[in-house]
Amino acid sequence: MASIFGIRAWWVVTIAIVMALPIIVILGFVLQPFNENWQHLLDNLLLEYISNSLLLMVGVSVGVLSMGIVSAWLTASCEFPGRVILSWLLLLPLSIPAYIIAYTYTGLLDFSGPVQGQLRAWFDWGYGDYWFPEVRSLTGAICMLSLVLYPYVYMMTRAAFLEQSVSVLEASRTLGHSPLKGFFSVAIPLARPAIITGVSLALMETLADYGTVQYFGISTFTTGIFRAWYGLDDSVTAAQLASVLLTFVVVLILLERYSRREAKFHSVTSKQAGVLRFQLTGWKAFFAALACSLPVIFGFFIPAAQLLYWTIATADQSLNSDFFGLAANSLLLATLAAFVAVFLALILGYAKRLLATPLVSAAVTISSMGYAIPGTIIAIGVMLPFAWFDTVLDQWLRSTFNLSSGLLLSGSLFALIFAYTVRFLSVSIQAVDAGLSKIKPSMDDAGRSLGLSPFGVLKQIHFPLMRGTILTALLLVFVDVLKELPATLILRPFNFNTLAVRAYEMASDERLADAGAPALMIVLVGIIPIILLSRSIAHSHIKSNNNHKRFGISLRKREATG
Amino acid sequence: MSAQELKLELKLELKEVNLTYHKQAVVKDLSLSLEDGEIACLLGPSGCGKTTLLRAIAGFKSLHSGSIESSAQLLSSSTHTVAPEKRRIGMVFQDFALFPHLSVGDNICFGIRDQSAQTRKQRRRELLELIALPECENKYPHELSGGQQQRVALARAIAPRPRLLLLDEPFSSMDVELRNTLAKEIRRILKHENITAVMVTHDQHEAFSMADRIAVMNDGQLLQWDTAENLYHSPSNAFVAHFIGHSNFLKGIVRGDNVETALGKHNYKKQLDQAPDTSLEGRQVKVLIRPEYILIDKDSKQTAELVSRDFRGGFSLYSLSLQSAEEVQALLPSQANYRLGNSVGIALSTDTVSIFVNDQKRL
Repeated sequence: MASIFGIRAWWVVTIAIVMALPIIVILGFVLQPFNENWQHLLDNLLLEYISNSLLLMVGVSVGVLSMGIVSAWLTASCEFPGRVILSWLLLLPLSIPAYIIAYTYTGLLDFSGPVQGQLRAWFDWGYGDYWFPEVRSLTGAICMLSLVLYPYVYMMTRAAFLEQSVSVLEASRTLGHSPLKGFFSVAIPLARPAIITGVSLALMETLADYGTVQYFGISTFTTGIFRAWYGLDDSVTAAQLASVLLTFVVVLILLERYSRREAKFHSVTSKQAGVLRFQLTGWKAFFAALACSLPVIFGFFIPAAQLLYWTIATADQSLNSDFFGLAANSLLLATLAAFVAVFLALILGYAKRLLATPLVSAAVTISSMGYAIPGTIIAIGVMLPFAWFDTVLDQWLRSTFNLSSGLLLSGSLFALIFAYTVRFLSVSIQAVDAGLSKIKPSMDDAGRSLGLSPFGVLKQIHFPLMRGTILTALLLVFVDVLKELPATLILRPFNFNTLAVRAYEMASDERLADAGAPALMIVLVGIIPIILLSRSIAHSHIKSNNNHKRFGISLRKREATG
Repeated sequence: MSAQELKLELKLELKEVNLTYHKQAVVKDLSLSLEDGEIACLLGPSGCGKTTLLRAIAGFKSLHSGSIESSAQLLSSSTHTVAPEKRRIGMVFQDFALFPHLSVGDNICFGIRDQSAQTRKQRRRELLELIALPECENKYPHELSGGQQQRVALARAIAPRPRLLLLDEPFSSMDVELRNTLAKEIRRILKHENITAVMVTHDQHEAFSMADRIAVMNDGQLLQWDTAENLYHSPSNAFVAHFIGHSNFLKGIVRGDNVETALGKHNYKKQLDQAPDTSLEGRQVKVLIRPEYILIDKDSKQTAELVSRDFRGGFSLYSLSLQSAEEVQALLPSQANYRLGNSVGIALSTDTVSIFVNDQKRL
């Protein structure tokens, strides 16, 4: 079959090597001699980077666990007014990148913002008369990241709760446990692998975040890498710093893999269809609805309203041809990257299906590691070899033909598209895998036995079945690229701006209101995959196995924080 | 024994239980009681309400009306439902519902966590011995075979010494052979521990090998609550006769103390579906003839033609066409390989037959 489709193992291996290139480059720099900048880092800053990054991770863990588990349990196991709509509204904060929510709350809660202004007006306070929590702080960053990252824990945990056999919980009751006790002794331990997976995904995004911590002035690895790259113009130190960050990421990857493997042993398949929910009434129902509404209100509606307000307030200046130029740039980049990523994912997906060898599956695994790697690291890992290649080529052309090739690779869209593909290939791979798993190998055989040629099988069976999958995969990559900030900042060609970059620049210039329009645009487009996702969640406990795969797509799909 | 003592002896007493599901009646006016140490079985086709009834006994479902009591304690009524965890009623689930994050030993001890460490350890060892899996104490559920999981689920349910044990289709996921051995094994364990139990099944053979008494249910109603022998030989109505075992129904006319069929004159037993005071004289009734009641008797004047044969090993099930043009099935030893198409003389091995007056529409 493989030979008929024309897929060769070496294609897959080549893709894997190319996709792993940025990481290999970064790791290679560990072997480079450490220079005086590194010594300076080590003496003064590295400890701060590490402690800030760890504090962020601990804080975000607490935040996403509390919001995610409570909302997951309430919507999965209890019945209260508004449960159905809340169970998908709870996903909405995923559509807001962390740096954008950070801008909105800074605008709202700053000294000059409406909240403090109103308080001063009410109580007739002046500057320094009162204490107000500082948004632009480590605590503030933890809150911002938690508000947009808790849906990872929510989705995974909710799916786990819904998958739990009703009879397991009933068994704990016949053995003398009250519902609440059963929750802690059975439901939570059974969902633990899912919870850990959700937290590790949220922490990967936390480590990858650049926009929020940069805006709040917190020194972490990503801001440190930027400082070394731009401030010190020291690519070696930047790469070495990136490799330290990489070790944190590797720990998270291992944690995630481990918990996913463990989840297989913890799975209980329910024979009884349907979920029996505890009927909540009175004040219990009120508090359940409130607990599920607060994350949505603070994680989506307030920031979205703020963005809308800014957009309307600045509409005459911001919605001009310049803005549409930005939108066109973003559209171009996101479309190109989506097509490349989905095309590669189709090759990898079919290779895995048709050539089931350990080599091929290892290559596919390597190709899909990018979801865990911060955009900053990938960007540097792409920039360094490309710049080196450009220099070498330029020198050779000059000396041989007296020609200059300039920045052929490193200064072009090619570098950006490549970085996006590395980062988001896993998103499309998972979507394609999920789609292919619906086409059983016996269907290929059935097609052949009914007189179809291999091409006919592809055209008449695979294409109609895969069409929706391919569209989904394109959309998911598209949205992720749109939101991506740090890689775009590093790799964009000179004077090439996107929506995300514009929002970042405006915010950095303290022109928050002008950041509104591009940010709102990103959020609006980001809602589309959430709606797709919520549709699959709606059916999730009916055919939970298939949907679990589809959860996976969206879970890893997001470069939220930039 | 006083009335009160008698009531305390009743491990389960259902009084006119009515259950509804989405406003439709699924169990109707069902009453039965179970004595200490008895193993009962709710038997019936799927959708007859037996599982719903079991869940009501466990406390997962509230009653529409009626009551459920155990040892004179009210567990459920239309206004009051004791929570499942407060009932001391154990349950073995259809999918076993073992806790996958706990070892076999910890699964078994889940319900006795409040007891002293010493007691727990002793009970754990005792139960592992009882279910013959002492080497599996530290294994996890996914490492066990289906039959082993089943036995662990049983041990877990009986560890707290429940007043009553419920088993929901406990053998449904097993192959026939395993079913038989496990049913015997579980009956041995229950009897050893003197546990009162209610099992739900749709398989009469499971019911026969497990239960002391069987409640045959159909369409939410209890049709007969009896021993397996009586269900088979003296079914109280035509549904039970039809549902349990193979059955032939012949037309018969009641004449005096006898009923006349194409096979001759027989004594008959009065059945529950007959009003006691009505005279049956001259009435046309249905007469139950089990296939093994029919014998080959060369001297008999009653003859029948052999129409077809279904080889079953030691016995063959023959279809016989009677002179009355009625067809009956007969279970005959398979060594005597009768030629199809021949006529043979037949007789009945029993003098007394069951007759039914009411036509059960659901047949």
